[in-house]
Amino acid sequence: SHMSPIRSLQPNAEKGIVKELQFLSNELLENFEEKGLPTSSSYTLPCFIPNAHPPNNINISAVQTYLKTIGPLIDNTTTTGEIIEHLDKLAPQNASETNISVPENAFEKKRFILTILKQFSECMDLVCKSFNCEAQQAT
Amino acid sequence: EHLPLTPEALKVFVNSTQQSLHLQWTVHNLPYKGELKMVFQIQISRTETSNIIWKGNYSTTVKWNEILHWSWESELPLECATHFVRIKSVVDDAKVPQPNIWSSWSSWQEAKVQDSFEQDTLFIFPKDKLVEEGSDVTICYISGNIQNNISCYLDGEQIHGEQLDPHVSTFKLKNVPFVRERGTNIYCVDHRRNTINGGTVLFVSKVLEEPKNFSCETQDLKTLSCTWDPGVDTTLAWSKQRSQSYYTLFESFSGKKKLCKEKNWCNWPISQDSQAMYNFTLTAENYLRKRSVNLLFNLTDRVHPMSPLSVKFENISATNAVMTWKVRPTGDYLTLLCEIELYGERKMTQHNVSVKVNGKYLLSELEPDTEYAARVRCAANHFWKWSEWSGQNFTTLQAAPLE
Repeated sequence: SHMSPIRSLQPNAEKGIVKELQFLSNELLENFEEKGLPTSSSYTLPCFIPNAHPPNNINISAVQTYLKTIGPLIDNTTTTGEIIEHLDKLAPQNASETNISVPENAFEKKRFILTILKQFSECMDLVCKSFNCEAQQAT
Repeated sequence: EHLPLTPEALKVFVNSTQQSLHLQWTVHNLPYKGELKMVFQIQISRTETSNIIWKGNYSTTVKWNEILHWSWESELPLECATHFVRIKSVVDDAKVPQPNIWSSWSSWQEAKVQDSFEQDTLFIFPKDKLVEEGSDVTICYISGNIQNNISCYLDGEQIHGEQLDPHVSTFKLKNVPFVRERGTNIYCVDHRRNTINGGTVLFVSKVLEEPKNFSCETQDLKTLSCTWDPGVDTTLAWSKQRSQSYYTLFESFSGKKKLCKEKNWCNWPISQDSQAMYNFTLTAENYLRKRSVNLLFNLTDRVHPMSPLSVKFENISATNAVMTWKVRPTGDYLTLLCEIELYGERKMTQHNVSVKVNGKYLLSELEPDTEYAARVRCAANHFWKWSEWSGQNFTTLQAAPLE
């Protein structure tokens, strides 16, 4: 369900969370990248809610579901757990029921993970832009 | 009388994971109703029966109506090519007068894993294979198209192979190194359609090492604590089950065995009526290799007492003090040798005493009104290791005024 999330955070607090999400998403990606491992166009992370406008356009429940699936696969449930918590602060949504099917074959499984982490990182970069993350926060 | 006993009912089974062919066959009309020594010659061909790639003999004693078994491991994944097997035999038994002639060959038996591949498909084999660092590995790709423009990459570096047939190319990887826990990436690109649709991971694990510094000791004659250095960890991500190593202890006098939960230590219960001598075999094992080390010892030579308890001083006077302490019970109260160190007046003096349960020692010729530090440690009379120290401080009384 893509109900518009109810926001209770101050703008600055939201920007802080989004900056942290951007940092963590890049960290996840860098820790996983491997030589000789290409991404694949067969996998897509539904990161944004179509026709919704920033900052309410992040498809939080879908992203959380993907990260819950990937966390154990990369032996890094700490970072993915942190990200899921931050996403909850942005707009608590009921957990998505969808089950993510992960390829069985190790090489395809790696391509799936790399592709999703890359898209999540790019997604957070875009969200950060919409929050004007780079601009210095008013002290 | 010549006996050309031809092998019959030859069947070939394929084990793709182990890349091995399992043969079974029988020999009928065995004379002598008993046993007969025979030699079997086996030929293995690849792609076509005329292309013989392996030939060898297998000698065994054949029993009446017995099904015989034999296995062969292929360096090439069995999906990459069809294999063919045939067999013949000759009697090689002193009971049967020479000369004996070889039987005729059995018919070729086919071992095929992959049927034909659909157009535009590209597969790489083996799938997610686990090998040891330093191994030679042969991989192949199978393309559904004959005219193909395919290049393959190992961790991003292009590798070059040989064409086995219009659909199949093979690549010999020599002395593969350990790269990372999640394995080495191999994929191929079909440049006609610029797609990557065939990829595999080669899980290269470190070589299982022989456990080092294997040692066992007891602190209470109730439990033996064995420790060792496992060496490099061979566990890989996503291949944990196969790549991780397990450790088992086997004690030959009692015949008992234990699978250890940890990789570098294990406890072994000492039963009341247990033997004095222990002969342990510690075995490290994973999917690819097994290593063992042995240890033979007498239990009383491996007692490492716990540190003494309740160190106290009694009857402290200006020049004497009685030091007492307790030692924890060890089995039937082994005699322990205890060592005392006394620090005071800028010097250290050492004393030894044998103890069963309660330790006691008279410290004499001390200086009045002086602070001393004393500590004690104990070891078994069949010395193995000292216990940790236990100690206390005390001060002698002031000397009484001279009369």
